Amino acid sequence: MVSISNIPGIDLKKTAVNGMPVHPLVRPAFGKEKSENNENNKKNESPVDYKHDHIIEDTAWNKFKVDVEKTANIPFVHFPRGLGGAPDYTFFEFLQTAKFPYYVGGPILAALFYAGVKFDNFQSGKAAKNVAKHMALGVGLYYLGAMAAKSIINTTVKLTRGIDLDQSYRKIIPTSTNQTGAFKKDIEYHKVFESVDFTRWDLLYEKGENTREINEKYNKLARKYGLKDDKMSDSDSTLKPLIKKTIVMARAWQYVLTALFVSLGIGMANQKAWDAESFHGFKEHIKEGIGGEGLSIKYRLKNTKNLFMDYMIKPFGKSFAQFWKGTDRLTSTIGKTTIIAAGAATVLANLLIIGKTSARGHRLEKTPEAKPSEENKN
Amino acid sequence: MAGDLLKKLTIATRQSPAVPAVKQQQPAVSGQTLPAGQSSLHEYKEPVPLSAANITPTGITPHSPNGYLLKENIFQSAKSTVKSYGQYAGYLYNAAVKGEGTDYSVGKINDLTIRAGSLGIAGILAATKAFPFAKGMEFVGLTTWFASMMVWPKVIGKPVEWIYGVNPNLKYVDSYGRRKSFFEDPQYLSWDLFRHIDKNGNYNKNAPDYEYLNLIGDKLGIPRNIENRHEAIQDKMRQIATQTNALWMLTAGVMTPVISSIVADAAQTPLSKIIEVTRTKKQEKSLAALETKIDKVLEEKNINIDKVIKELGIKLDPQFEKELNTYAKDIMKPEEFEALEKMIEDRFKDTDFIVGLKRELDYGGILTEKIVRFDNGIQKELVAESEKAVAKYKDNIINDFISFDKYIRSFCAEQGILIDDKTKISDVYKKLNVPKIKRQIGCAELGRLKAFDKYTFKEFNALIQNREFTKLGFAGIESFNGLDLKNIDLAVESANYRKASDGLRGFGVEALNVQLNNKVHWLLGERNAPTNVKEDLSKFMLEYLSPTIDKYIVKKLNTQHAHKILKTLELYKTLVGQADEYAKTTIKDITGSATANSWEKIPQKYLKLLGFNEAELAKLALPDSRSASELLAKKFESLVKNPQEYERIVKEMTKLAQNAISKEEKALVNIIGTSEKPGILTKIKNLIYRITAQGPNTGNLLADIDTYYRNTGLNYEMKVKNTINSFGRPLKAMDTYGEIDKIVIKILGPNVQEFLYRVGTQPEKMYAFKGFSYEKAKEALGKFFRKLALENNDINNWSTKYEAAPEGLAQGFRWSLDMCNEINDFLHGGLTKRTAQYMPKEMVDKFDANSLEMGVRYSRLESILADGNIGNKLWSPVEEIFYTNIHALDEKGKEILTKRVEQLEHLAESRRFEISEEKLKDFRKTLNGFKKVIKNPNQHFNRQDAVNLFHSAEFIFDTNNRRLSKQAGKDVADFFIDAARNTRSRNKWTKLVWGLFGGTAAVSALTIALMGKKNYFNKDIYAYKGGQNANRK
Repeated sequence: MVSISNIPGIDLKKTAVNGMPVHPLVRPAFGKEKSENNENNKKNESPVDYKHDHIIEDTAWNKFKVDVEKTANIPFVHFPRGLGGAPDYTFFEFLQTAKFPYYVGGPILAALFYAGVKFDNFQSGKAAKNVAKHMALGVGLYYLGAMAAKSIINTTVKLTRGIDLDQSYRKIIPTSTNQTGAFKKDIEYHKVFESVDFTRWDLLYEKGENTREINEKYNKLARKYGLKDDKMSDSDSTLKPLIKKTIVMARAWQYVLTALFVSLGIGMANQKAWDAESFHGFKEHIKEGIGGEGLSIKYRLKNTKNLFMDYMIKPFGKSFAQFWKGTDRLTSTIGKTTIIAAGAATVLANLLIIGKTSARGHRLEKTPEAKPSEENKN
Repeated sequence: MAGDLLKKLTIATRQSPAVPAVKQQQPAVSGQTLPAGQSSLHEYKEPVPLSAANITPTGITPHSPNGYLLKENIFQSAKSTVKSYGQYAGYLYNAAVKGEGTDYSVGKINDLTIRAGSLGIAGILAATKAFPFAKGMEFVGLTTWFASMMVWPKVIGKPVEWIYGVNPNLKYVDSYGRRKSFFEDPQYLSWDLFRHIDKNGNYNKNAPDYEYLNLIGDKLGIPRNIENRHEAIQDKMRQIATQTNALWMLTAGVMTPVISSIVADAAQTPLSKIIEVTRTKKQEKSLAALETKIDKVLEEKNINIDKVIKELGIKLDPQFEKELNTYAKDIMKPEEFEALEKMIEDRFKDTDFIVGLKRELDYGGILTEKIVRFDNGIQKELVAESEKAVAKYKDNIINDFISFDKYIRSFCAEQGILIDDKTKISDVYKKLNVPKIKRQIGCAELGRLKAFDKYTFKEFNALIQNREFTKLGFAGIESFNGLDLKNIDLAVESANYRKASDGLRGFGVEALNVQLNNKVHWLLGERNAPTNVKEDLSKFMLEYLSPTIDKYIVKKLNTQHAHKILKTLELYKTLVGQADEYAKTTIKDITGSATANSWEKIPQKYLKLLGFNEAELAKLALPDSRSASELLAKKFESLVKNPQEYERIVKEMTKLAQNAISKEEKALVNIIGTSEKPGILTKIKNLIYRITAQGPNTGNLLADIDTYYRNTGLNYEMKVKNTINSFGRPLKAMDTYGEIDKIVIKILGPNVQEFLYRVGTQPEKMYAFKGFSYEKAKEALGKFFRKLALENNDINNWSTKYEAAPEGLAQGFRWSLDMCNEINDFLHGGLTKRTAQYMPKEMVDKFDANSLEMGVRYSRLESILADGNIGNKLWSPVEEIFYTNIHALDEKGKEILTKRVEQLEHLAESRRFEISEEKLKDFRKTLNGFKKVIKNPNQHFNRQDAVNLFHSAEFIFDTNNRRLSKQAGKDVADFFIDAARNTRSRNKWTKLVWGLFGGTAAVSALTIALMGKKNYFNKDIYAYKGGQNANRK
């Protein structure tokens, strides 16, 4: 049986983390220092060095870099490869390209509406401009609502279960089949928990001498899931179904909350608080208050803060109140229903996820010191 | 990592190099278990090769695969998509509540929630829109959005299928019965499903293997004699499907909104039409039902408001009922009454009867002045308080003197002045600005008195009196200890404001105050108190008593009557509101109403009819109306010269105008009715009038109710006249352009001689042309008319439009009544035969009558110039014909006269909301008399009645700016300017949207044409059968 370990001359301890491939478009973002340390070993590297998927350290900067790279890859890698019909084009790439219409469609619709505004007539122009503004704002708040729904659940799951649904890993793509110059793809950034059916359990194992070391991450998660035992030998097998459950519930609730939060966003975007009347002096504020000549930095900062307060936070709060209140019975009912539904669903989602994924009551297989008789009871 | 693990496992170190790791595992496979760490005790067994026989678990058989390719058209696919949402809801429940699911089911939940969320968004947006059309459009938008999202991949998929035989939208059902897209994940394609598909694309177990696939391969041009042809075909299919999917994602972001916009835009016209028709019908129906009920109530002479409300089936605003019930008490506190007044003002704002209503309530039971409710309690309290007041007053005097005395003494001591030293003390007083009365006492007596603090008021007073300072002292008040019951009674009797029948003795606060004041004055006068003291004390006393009086202030409400009146007027408002709902769907300027829809479309159709090109449209849309005016003038002049084109345009334009006007006129007739058949608004007024008239002193309120009726009706009428004038004026302008040369010659004369003669002999009329040559005058006057026909119709220019000097002349025509009348007659006269012959008579009459009315209403200038009115101008020819030539009239003359009378009728009717009904009836009677006389000249006719009537003030048609501005209609130039702007912005939008559509479609077409070709990613290297090596295609 051929295993990586059998190949002579390879020190896995070094290469597993260090051997980062260089992406053609975005410079390598991870393990830079380490790869510098590794300069001496470069001669020994061969393509197999890279064939280890690995989790990306969870920092905001890393996440940002991954996002940038993923976004840049959409036009520069996935579209060209897709339009060329690359044989190893994946479903992942298809999903990445699907983000393009998602983000482009709404603004274009708003822009088309704006193009229909009759500017010749001051009155109707003003009214239609307001409508177009509401529309553009609606598009913005739509995306904001979707983001909020996602992050609420992500936060809950992360805080209560230690599962970071956003946890990316680098998936190394065998490059032997797609050496296609500029459009070469050797990495895909996937999420560890993106699939229910094919969760990347393997990435959660650590290297170690014994099960406790190997299961270190699982053990940590187990405590988050409510298992108090100190000596867990198979926390992984106990947790896997619970993690699956977590993923399923989190995803489902994310979708539900998204629907409710985007409705809320659109509802708020359509309130009077965002009308032009609320934005008197906006331009002057930027021009004179922030960009004006001879102002102290402190003053500029203060004005910037005020700008956000007066033209974003306040209208935001006001629009929320207006949506709640409504202008008549119907709108007030709809506003209240939407807000209450979004709030209630958020609470319910959190309660259900926390309640149903708990491992309290589960008992674990103890480490070998445990008495066999006790094990059998389980 | 796995390698590390293997290394660390003890088992790996123990095994002999000859035995591979796999074999070591063998016992585990065959089901034996080994306790950990006991491998050394294990007995070695020969490895058994893996085979179906020893790895298939007994008793379990695998499911036979039963997936299949789907053959659905777009409708079937849409149907099964919708159907599957139920299933997805199940997935959602399982996932969200139980935490059960797979990647597939969770993905489907996303589909479901996106659709549900979008519906929710559309619902929210629709609810926030005030108008049904906008509400409808939200759902149209949603539908078109999803439809275009769904349709676009099919649109690009079809040509791909035609050209390459590959259907990129192919769907299949997997073994679990889940519908999936075949090419969604290019790395996991279920090619097996093609196995038994025959050449027609149907499942057929007996068909040759991969028959269908091979056919596709042929279409794709895959060589036949290659190794692994199936794989080559599959690779090519995958390539095309991947390319199509990428193209789909590249273009969907643009195409979804673009197609959605185009479709939604196309849906606007039918949608607005449907909504307009449905709403109008619904409103007409409910209005007719209401009218029937009102007729019945009127017939029954029912005046019980509650019964009337019940019978009409009206539900008054529940908020109003609630508010009304808070005023159930007869006696109200002042703040309660203020709240009632506020309620009336809020509830009946925008009506004309607030003032009348308040007065009605006042006279009907609520006093305007605050009143004091009197009984023994307040009387006793007042007696006690008045005693306290007097005592307090006396105390104050003493305290005042005591402190004053102390002050003076200490001051004198400080200054070393002897208190007896009159001169010096006097100086001190002056310096300290001590009031005269104190100074007098002080100057005269202070030095000789003891310190004041030891005296009572009586002693103090006695002291002053004894010292013969009566005139300065407080004679009279020492024996005055306040009012007694008898005093109060007397004051009350004379102050009594009104005694209500229910035993309440009510007194106006002011009146009571006056009486109490008088009483105190009188009592003090009796005691010879000095005037200033009297005034001072009574003022003090009233101030002192006022809190006590305030406690007893009330207002009285005749609850029953007030409720009746308020309910009646609320009913009035509600009923007028219902009629107004109909007006809102038809004649009012509200988005989605018939008139709004007409204005949205018809002016643009007028514009299209006249046929302007792009450059001309741009010029028309300029902010300065002059260029538009010039363009229109040119257009009309050329039209006049082209009779066929003129005929076509007049006919088409009339149709368009008729379309707009007829809807509104119908609505107007339904609402305000005609002279013969009163409309619902009149009936509502009559009903309310009848119920209200039953109360006491209702004159003011009735007048107000009538005013509200008239104003409401007038507003509707003016709006419809505005429409008629706006849509008729372009026709009139075209007609005018054909007549301008004639009128110019008519005014100036046919030749130079005549012109000079007229200028010379008619200086009052022709003064403006004095000193100008005939040609110049002709040119200037012609220009003047051309401009007037198109511009200056708005209210800013209305009253001065003949005054300003025309271009090329030095003066306007303001000083000549004759000239102004001539111009006015021409501009507001009827349509000539040139135009009228192509129009239905009814439309000609309508335009003429309204144009005439506007001409007649344009009388401000004439009123200033001549001490008369335009009514006379109309009347004079009528009068003349009637009394001199009526017998000699031929048929044509009769016809002309009849038309004149009809116009007069129109003018009379146009004042129906301005003059009394009796007067209007008189008008009608007289005009009917005219008609009869025209038919039969021997008919008796009272001439003097007619003369009196037409010379009465009611027939003066000068009017206010509000009426003019509301009724005049749009300027021709403005009409076309707005139309041009709308057309242009629409064209701009159309260009943009279709440009995007075309561009994206072109990119798609090009991409599709290049699909499946050998490229960077697909080298298309085939191994030919029969030893041929790889050969490039």
